[in-house]
Amino acid sequence: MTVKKFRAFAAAAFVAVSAAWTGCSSLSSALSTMGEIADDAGFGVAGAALGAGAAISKAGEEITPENEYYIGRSVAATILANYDVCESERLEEYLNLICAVLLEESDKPELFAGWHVKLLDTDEVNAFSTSGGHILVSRGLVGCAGSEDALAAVVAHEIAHVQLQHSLKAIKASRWTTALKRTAGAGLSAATGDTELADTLDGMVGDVVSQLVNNGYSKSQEFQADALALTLMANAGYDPAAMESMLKEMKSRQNGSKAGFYRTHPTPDERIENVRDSLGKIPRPKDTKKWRKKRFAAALEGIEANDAD
Amino acid sequence: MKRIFAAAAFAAALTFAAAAAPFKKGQTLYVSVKSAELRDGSGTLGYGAAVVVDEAGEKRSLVHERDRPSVSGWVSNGSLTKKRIVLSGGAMVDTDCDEIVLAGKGFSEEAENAYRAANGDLDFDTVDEIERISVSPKAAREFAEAGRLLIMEDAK
Repeated sequence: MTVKKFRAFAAAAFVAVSAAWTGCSSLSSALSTMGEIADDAGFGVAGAALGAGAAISKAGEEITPENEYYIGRSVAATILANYDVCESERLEEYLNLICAVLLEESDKPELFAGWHVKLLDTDEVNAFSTSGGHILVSRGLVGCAGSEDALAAVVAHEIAHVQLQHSLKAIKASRWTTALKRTAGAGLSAATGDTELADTLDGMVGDVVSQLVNNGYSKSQEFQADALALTLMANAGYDPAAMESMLKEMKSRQNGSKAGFYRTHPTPDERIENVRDSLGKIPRPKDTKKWRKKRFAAALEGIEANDAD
Repeated sequence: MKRIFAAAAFAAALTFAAAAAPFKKGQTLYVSVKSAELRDGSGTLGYGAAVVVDEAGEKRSLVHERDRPSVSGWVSNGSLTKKRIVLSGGAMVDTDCDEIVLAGKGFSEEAENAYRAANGDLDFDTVDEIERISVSPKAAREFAEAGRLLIMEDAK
C-alpha cells in the first residue's frame, strides 16, 4: 500500500468514526464519502462496496422490506404485461439454483418474500429485476451465455441492482412521502376507491418502470452493479472473468441493435473496461468450471429454438 | 503525523469490527421477512416474530423464538431488524415510534389492491406464479457441491 493511499484511507476512516458517533443517518453519508475517497485512492471494488453499504443504510431508514416487496410486485406486473414467460421447468430450476448459490455468501440473501428467477419468452437481449426479488431474464440473453459462470454473471448483475436498491432510487422522494402519509395507521380497502393513493402508487411504479425499460440506470449504477456482481460470483466460487466473456458475446450479437439491453445499458466496451479494472482487485476462486459444463449444456439444450419441456 | 494516522486506522478498525457482527447476544430482534427459514431445517419464523440472539455472527445469528424457545436455529441477519413490527390488529404499543415498524404502512397488500383496481391490465397472476418458484436449501447445497462451488455449512 502506498503512503498516499494509506493517508487517504486513514482520513476516510476518521470521517467514518466521527460520523458513527453522531448516528446512523450520518454514518450512511460517511460511508458514501468513504466510498468515494476509497475509489479515488484506488480501492475500486472496496469503494463500490462501501458506497453500496451507504445506499442500503440510507434507504433502510425509510422503506421497509415489505414496502420494497409490494413496489416490486407492481413493477413486475407492469413489465409482464408486455412479455410472455417461458414455461421451461428445467432451465427455470437451474437459474434459480444459480441464484441461490450466488446469494448464499452475499450481504442480503433474504428479501421479504425471497428471490425468484423467471425466463421471458423473447429473443430480445434483456433482463429486469425488482425490489420484490423478481428477476426476469430473456431467452435471448440466456442464449448469449457460453457457460454456467457466464449465466451466473447475468443473475449476479440483477441481484446486485436489487441489493443496491437502484430501482427504489428512481422513485421521486415526494411520491414516497405522500404514500406514507396516506397510509399511516390507516386500514385501506379497495372498496373505498382511494384513487388518490392509487395515483400516487401509479406514479411510483411509473418512475421505476420508466427507468428500467426506457432510460436505464445511470452508468455509475451499472458499474456499481457489475462490481458487486463480480464479488458475488467470486464468493460463490464462480469465475468472475466469465462476466467479461459474457459482455463480449453480447457485443458480438448486437448487430447495430438499440433495443432492450443495448438501449438501457452502457456499451459493452465501457462495461468490459470497467470490469477489467475491477477483476484485477478480486481474489479468484479455484478453477472448477469443468464440474459445471455438463449440467450447463443439459439445462440450455434447445433454448435457442425455444423448446419448452 | 504518524501517530494521528495510526490512531485513525485503529479507530476505523474498531468501527468495522463493531459493524462486522451487527447484533449482540441477548438482543431481541424481529423477523422482517415473510418467512425466515432456520438453516438446520428445524422450522421457519414468521413475519414480525420476536427472537433472542444466542450467538451473533457477521452474516448469520443463532436465535430462538422468544415465545417458543424450542424454535431455534441459525438465520440470516438480513431477515432480522431491531425495530418491533406491529401487525395489523396487534396489541397497542407504547414505545418510541422510531422503534416500531407498522406492517402495512406505505405500499402494502391493501395499497396493491387499490392499485390493481385502477390498473386492470397488469399481470399480477404471473407475478403470483413467479413467487411460487423456490429451491430448497438442500437442493441448493447439492447443486453447489456438485458444481464444486461454495461450501455451505449446515448451521452457519
